[in-house]
Amino acid sequence: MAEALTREAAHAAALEQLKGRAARSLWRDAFSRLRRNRGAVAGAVIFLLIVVMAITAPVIAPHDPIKLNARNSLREPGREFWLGTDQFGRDILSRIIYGARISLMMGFVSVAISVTAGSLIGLLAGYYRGPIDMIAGRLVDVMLAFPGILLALVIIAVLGPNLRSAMIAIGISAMPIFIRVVRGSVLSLRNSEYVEAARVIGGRDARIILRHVLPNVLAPIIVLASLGVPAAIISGAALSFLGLGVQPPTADWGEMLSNGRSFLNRAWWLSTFPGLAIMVLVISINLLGDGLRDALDPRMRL
Amino acid sequence: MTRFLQQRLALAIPTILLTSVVVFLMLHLIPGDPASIYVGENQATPERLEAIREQMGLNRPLYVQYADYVWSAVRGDLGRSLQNDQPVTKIIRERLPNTFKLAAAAMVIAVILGVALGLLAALKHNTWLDTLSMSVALLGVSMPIFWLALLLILFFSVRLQWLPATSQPGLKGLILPAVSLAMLSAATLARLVRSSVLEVLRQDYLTTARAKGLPGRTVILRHAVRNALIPVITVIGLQFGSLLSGAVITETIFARPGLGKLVVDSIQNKDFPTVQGAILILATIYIVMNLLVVLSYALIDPRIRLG
Amino acid sequence: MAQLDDLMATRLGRRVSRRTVLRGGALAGASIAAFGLLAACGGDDDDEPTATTAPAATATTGGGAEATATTGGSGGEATATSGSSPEPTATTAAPAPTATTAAGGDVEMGGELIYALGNRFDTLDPTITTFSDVIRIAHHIFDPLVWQPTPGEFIPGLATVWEVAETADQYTFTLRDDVTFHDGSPLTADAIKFTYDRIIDPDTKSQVAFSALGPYSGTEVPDPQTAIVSFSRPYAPFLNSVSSTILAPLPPAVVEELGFDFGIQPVGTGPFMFDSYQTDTQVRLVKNPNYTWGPGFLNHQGPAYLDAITWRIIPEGATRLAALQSGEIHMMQNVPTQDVATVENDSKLEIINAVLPGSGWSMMNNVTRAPNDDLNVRKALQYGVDKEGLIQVVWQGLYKVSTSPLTSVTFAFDPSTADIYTYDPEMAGQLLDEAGWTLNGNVREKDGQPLVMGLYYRSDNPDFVALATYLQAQYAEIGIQIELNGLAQAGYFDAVRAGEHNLQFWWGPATDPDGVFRVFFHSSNADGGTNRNRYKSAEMDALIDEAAGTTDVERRRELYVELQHKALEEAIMVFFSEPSEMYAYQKDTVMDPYVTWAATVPLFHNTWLKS
Repeated sequence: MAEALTREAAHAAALEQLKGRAARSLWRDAFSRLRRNRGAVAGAVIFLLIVVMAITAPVIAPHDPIKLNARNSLREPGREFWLGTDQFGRDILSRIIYGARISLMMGFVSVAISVTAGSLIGLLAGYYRGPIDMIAGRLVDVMLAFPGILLALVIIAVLGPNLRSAMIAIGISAMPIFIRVVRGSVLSLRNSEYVEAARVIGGRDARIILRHVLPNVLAPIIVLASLGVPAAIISGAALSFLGLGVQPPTADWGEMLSNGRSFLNRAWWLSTFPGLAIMVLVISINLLGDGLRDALDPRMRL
Repeated sequence: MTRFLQQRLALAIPTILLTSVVVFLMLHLIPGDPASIYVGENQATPERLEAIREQMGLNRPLYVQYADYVWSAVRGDLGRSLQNDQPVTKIIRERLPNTFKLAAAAMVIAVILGVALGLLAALKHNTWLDTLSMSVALLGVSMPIFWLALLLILFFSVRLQWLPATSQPGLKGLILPAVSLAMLSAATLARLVRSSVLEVLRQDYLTTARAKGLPGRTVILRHAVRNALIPVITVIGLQFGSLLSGAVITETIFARPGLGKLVVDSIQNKDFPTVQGAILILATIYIVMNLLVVLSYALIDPRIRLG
Repeated sequence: MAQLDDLMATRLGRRVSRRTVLRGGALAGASIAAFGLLAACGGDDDDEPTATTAPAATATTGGGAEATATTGGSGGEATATSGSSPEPTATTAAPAPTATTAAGGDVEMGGELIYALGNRFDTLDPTITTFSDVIRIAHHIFDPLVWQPTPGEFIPGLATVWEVAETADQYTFTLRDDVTFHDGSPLTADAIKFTYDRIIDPDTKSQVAFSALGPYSGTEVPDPQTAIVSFSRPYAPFLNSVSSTILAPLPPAVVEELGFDFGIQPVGTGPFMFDSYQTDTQVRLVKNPNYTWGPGFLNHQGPAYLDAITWRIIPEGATRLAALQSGEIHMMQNVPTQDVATVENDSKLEIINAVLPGSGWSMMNNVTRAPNDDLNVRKALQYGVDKEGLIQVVWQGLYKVSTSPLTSVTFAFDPSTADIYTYDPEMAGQLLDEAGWTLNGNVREKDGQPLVMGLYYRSDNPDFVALATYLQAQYAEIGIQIELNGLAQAGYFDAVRAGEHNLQFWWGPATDPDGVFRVFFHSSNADGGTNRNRYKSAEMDALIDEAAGTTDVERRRELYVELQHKALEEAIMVFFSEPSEMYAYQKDTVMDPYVTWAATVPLFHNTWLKS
């Protein structure tokens, strides 16, 4: 009996080691594949530049992004204000530099919400099946039946219009796809040998999920998340258009673009530069996300 | 097949019911008293507000309101709008065709554009055409819809005066809104078609087909495209739902009275009956669309069995 | 055209011409009758339930005018009698035929005018709606009992003669006997009784018309052409009320048959008949060929020149303008100030920019909530804002600075208010120091508490958002921290009705000062009503009531001047700017558009389209 147990344990340990090595090399392979992908590298570089810009905003911004000056209202791009000023006389360039912080936050915090909540629900549903799975399934159905942006609108109506609500709303509405993908991956793993083995040797569920299941669904989660970030940024801009996003005087690209739209005839620079900023950020993350997908999970269709 | 349909329909009903409960509860969580909104900035005594609440049936317990709502809904009565006293069914009937037309037109554009770009990119894999197609697709997912829509209006309506800026009856008025709405879906589809065709092209049976001496074009059309179609159809089903509601912004900009805009306005005014009615209808359409998608699998690929 | 402009300028005291800011001030001063209705709501702009708040459901005795208040009557015989004359005055109808248009002979008949509104609305029933846009449409489907072409001048509408009891609590109207509703039924006095009784029925959920009816107690119909409308107490503003289609008579049989659906297929007596309505999209009206009872101040009283009018709803400002530029629509309202320059530079377009009477853009202090309960703090808010800069930023410098509760085109406006508070940040700082709020870093403090004020506004309105953004930055300079609470309308109404705000915005055109002071400062409106200053003062109430009940024009003016100064001394509200209503139209196509003096209603009775 004892012998058998030991043998089982040894077997599990060996399996684990093997899997660990496989996992490590999977990540290493993925990284080297990513490095060879020119688009992904370009995306990564641009993205990092934007992150650096956001971090160093107070140092590199030529003007105060919030202080207003009616005399400088609607200045054309020129020597003093490279990208012009808005109607409050605030420097567009400085607001774009500071605004990177909000746009990045909008993208990453919302996705963090959907990843965390979605993965947790998906993991539990896929691992335990039964009633939990049933409830999660209904939840996903209901959320998906709430079409698109409408769920976010209702959530914001409940929480009040501001950045925090916008991030929560976008995060929650993007959750179903994470639940589905994670649940699906967990289902296929659940009966795999090493999970079975871990269970046989009496591993606690929490440990099994964390040590054995989660690492193996990480790849699709990362890929999904990387594509979710730009989508969240675009959704944030849409909310700003509806007056439900960031509230003044915070500089945010979506808000700047939305505010600038009423000046399209009079001052093109108000909307053009924030619009371009959004596009560049979204494209860079998309390129990076595509690269990640190709590198980590080439068969994934997204 | 029939059993499968029954099963799916049986599943759809609790989903719709559950959706209605969720909508109902969430709407009641929204701060604000509908009677107060109805009165607006007018002078109103507390008694008058109370009378309006009474009129609107809002001072009954929540579960009574919900039960009443469901009971009426089952009989095809979705109540009356709190904003204009018109029957919600009538409002939705007026608006649904608008939204449906817009979503359908956008879908058509998205499919044509998306499949064309995707095929081009896949068949000319790793050439400049591939890069170009994918760049276009990338632009499509990177531009906020409202910005694109306004630029389209400025260029095609104001500058060139080719197309109307607002939605007018007829095809002409549909073009700009449909194009701006279609961009995101087109881009998503293009990427999807590309990757599924590439995947199919790599598979063995095409090599076999080629080895059998079938000409390259036939191989591609007969095998690759058909196989690549399945994920495309799934996505079309999913996208149609989001097109219906993604129309919120497009409808606002192009002054199109559709369901998306209706829901946004009604949420603002806390018009429960209208929001509930509209979301229920949208949810039902979504569920039906998905059912059609699943059914269409069987048509395209007889190997897929339902059940 | 030019001739018409001049004519209208004389008659209306304002020019309908490009780039001219129109005024009605001089005239308004000349004769103020007992109006005061159409005080549009505050706190919002046209975007919403704009509601015309009746000044006084509470009694305003006497009302404003002397019996002699016939003014602006360059139109010949058109004897205009103000409503609230102490002696019963009978006015005989006499159309004013002298007003003719330059267009005279070459008027082209037919065509369909396409007019763009900015907002959706609730119902087409003018007695139920809370939206001023509906009143714009209703002026074409319905007719008012009397017309008010210039402030205080009343001329016959559906009523040829009216008589006001000495006590101003009874009005006797004699109706024209040749008027028919669009369904062919004749207009009789029963329609008035039916309409008014229906308005006060709570089931009707009438808002604006309900307020406009004031202390209505009932209507008697001694004969088919006579209606005697009675009130439970003197109600002088009533004649002003019936000069709008808010109180237009509805056809009883049709309303009984249709119920609520009357609001989606209205039937009236006006120059245009309802044709179709797609909710939130458009309303189409067609010409009423039997119309012969047009208002006397227009150049002809017969059927309209246009075959039809389509009122389209285009919510996005940029799209509305694009539709005008591309020729899809003929005329639009709510031209965004950002686009005024674009319209002016477009040789095909003409703009009408009319300053609205009443009150402008302003901000209320909740005087019951610290720190705004301190007079010195409120005064600091007055000195601390650069209004020129604010107008530059929010409205591209197009509006005039406002220094009084009344705009400069309103009766009794006192120009000397301009000197009371000027932009003086140092003075603001001193006042705050005196109040014990001393600078600590960037924000002032008192007893360890920072000087913070919660500003509540509706985040779905770009003007409010821009105002809030500006004020936050501006007041930061004198050490006041403004906490922005941009809310959706639901949350907003709840918060400000409950008095959770320190500050909130207001916007409120009106046609009589009573519609301003009562709404802003009367204690009867202070608890959750329109007086969100929550200001209560017996002295102020007495002044407001006295002014509303004074018939002597000069005395009334003095009282309102006193009221303006009192409101400013107490620094209850900060007044920013005088708003304008801006219309734009295709000037080579749309001929003779006419905008009424209160600038809220365009009339297309006379308008024609040039091919």
